[in-house]
Amino acid sequence: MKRDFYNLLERLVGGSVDFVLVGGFAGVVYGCTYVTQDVDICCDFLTENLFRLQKAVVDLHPVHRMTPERIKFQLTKESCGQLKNLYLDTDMGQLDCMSFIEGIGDYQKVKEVSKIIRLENIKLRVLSLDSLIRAKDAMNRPRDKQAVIELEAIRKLKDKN
Amino acid sequence: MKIAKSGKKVSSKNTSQKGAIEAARVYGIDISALMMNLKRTPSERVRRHQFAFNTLEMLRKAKRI
Repeated sequence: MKRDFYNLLERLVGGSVDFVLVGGFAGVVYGCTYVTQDVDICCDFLTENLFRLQKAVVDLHPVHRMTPERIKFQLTKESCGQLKNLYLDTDMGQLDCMSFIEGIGDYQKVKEVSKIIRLENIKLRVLSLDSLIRAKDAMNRPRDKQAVIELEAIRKLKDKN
Repeated sequence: MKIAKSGKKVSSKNTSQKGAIEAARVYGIDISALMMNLKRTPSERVRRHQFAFNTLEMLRKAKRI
């Protein structure tokens, strides 16, 4: 099965998962030319939302990709309360779910600085360009630095037009 | 807040934005590719990204064989 990030997002939207697209793929939406290997979202880690997330990807054989045994992604009400982040691998691609974004804050804060963008047949929340730059800047990893440079150039080019 | 050579106070945001395109160019980012991408819709950008991703995946798999 070919990995398809749009399909992954379509499932989340269709499954009424409360989330905001963040990270490298949000950069792609704004015009970055790099190729990212995963979809990063910031989502509400409330039990109901996590169960909606699980339902949306259940047939994609999701696993916790950071565990050596690649443990199957199977939530229980008890496990939901302990989760802060989820690093999943699915048939459609890697999906990283965060409850907190460095430089921005928790899900509610992230949602406040997001905007709704139409992608093909879906509408989804994407972290605003300014906030994405702030978040990437706060992460401060070498690849984030490169993304910040590209995103700042995009902001400038957009301002010019 | 930074102090420019002229002695005027300028915000760091304005300073960084002014040179953002030049900084990207120096870093090696293809500005013309960025400009082309900005003319596209978000949907088109995502579709093009998927195509590039699939190509890279294919190359990775071919390398493994």
